[in-house]
Amino acid sequence: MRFFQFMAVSLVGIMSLVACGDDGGTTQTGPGAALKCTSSNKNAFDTYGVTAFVAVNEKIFELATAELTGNGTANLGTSFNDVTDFPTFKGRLAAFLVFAYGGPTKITYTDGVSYDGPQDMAAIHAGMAITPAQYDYFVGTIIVPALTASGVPMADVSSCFAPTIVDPAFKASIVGQ
Amino acid sequence: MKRWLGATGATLGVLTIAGVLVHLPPVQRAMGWRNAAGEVICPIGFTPERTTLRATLEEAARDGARPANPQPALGFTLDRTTRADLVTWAARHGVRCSEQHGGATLQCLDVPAVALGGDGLAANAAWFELDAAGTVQRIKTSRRAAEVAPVAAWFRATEQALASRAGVPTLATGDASDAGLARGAFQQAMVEHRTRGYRAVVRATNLGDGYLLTESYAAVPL
Repeated sequence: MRFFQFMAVSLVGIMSLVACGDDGGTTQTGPGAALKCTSSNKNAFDTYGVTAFVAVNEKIFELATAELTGNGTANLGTSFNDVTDFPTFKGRLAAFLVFAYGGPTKITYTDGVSYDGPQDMAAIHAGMAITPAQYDYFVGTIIVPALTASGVPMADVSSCFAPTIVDPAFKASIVGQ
Repeated sequence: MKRWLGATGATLGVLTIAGVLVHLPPVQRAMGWRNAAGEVICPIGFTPERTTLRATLEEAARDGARPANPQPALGFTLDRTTRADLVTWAARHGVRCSEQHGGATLQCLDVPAVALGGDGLAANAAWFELDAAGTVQRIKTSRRAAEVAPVAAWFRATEQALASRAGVPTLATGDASDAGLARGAFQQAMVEHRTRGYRAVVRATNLGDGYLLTESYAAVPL
């Protein structure tokens, strides 16, 4: 289902906008780096580490897949036809999540490939025409459950993950492009 | 007497051979003996009965793969409501719908609550997922409100309705009270109900700039 591909890409874009125009240097920090988790008073990456971010990333794809397949209805089998390079897609999303929440600008994902965190998503969002309802649905049914299912307490979800995603400028950069 | 017995035997032999021949599919095809479905048939009339029986068995098998009871969802019935029903419904309520994914999904925007069997929050969007036969298999909705109260109230009312029909939820997380959802961005309450051939998931989420209620009702193949 192209919608969920768009939405997953949008998640990257949500947090990458701040990075647009940056030079990708090692001193660069993501938009969520300054946010403090309630549980630790540290940012999300310092609190949970790369292993947890990989888990959240995998959960996002798991939930998106479950949503796409619709419990084995007729949509199964055609849902992912638009995604041509899934490993890269996952690696890029993971790299951005890590970067956006206070981690390094580059990671090596589980496929052994190195991915850059700061990403310019403007070109990717162009022409997608993501609606507010689609965006909201993706956040409510994929992103939040992925965080909580991965063991992030609600208090931390609200304090050190949500602000980056709910930022009006971020949302405006994704919806209606 | 001997001649009579021989003639009778010969006649019976010819009839037997003829009886066998008329039941050979190549002969039936050659003679053009076909029923309405295009299947070759016995001209004497037994095959149609057998075909009907087979059709009955096939229909029973199909029904066996369906949920035992009709599964209502937002005024529709999963695995029963058809694309034609949706078109009629949309016209009756003045709802704008468009086909997506080659017709596998019907997306309807700005759907009044009353069109979804309720009275309260309108849906920003409703998605109807159909199978190859054009029957609704899954319905998802997205409703938004600036304040927590209507979303929390809708969540609790929906959960109550589901519980009365499907029993205790198979999964329930989060605090669905007004205060619980208003505690911060991404606070979320969720319930899931699973019964034979049916799955319903309802979520209320604080999006930071408003509140979202999503519902998903799916016919689950048995």
